[in-house]
Amino acid sequence: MNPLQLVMIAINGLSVLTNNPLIGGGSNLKLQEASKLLSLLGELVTRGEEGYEELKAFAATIEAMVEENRAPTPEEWAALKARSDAAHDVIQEARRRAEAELAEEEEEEELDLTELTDEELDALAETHGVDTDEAEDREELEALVAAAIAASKEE
Amino acid sequence: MQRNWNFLRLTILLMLAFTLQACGAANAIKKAETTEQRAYAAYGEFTIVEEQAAKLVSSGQLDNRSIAAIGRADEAAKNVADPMIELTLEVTAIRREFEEGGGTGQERYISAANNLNGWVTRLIPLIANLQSAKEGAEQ
Repeated sequence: MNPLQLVMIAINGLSVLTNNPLIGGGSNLKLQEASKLLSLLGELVTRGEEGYEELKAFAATIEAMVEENRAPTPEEWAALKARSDAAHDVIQEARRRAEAELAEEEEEEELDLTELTDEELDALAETHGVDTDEAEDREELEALVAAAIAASKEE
Repeated sequence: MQRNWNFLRLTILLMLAFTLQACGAANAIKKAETTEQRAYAAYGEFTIVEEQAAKLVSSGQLDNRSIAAIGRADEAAKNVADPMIELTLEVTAIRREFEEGGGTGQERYISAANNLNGWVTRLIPLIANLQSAKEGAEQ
């Protein structure tokens, strides 16, 4: 688990505890949750994942900015935004492909194989790697194709 | 009940102090002092999480639903993060004006800084959402 998420979990946990007006009978349970959060924090301090190291390095640049008593420059903003834009483009392109494939899978889910022509069924079978020669009849081919579609969704 | 509440409150305060100390080394937002520094720190943390998410979605290890979830979280955060840049530069310009001339510049600066703080506050949970989407996909 990434240290940043551990921090978020700890902080969210603290928020839940402090905002819950029900004390008394539930307090023992909350104390156990507090112990769990403390152990998560212990893990946080000792982990050294890449993102955490980057965050530490970035925190140091903020410290330097504070020491210099200055605001970030337009050039610093431009450099940071360029990094964000590059990462954003990668994520959104992957998202577009993923959503297109999901839409295609949903179309196949709604597909009634019995309504396809023989040619359409054969084409769908080929798409999913089903050997049409394995099926003795149309009904069996439909079952094989349906199984192949279901299997591809689980992957 | 009062005794339990006092003990719980003490535990919570100790936890809070420990949390802040433990995450202080990597918490850029907490290190910032001015509104502009805080906005830059928030944007920087968002960018680092976004870069990690980009590596993850490119890794070929995620299913389509996870990638789509990361994409939605990223879009939501980016829509708040980017407008902050212009706002921050505006706050900096107003601050300079106020520091040089005083007078009504102070009111404008306070208003602009409060507005910017609002955007930073909106961005922080969205960074957490993106991080959660990324972590959820990795598990």
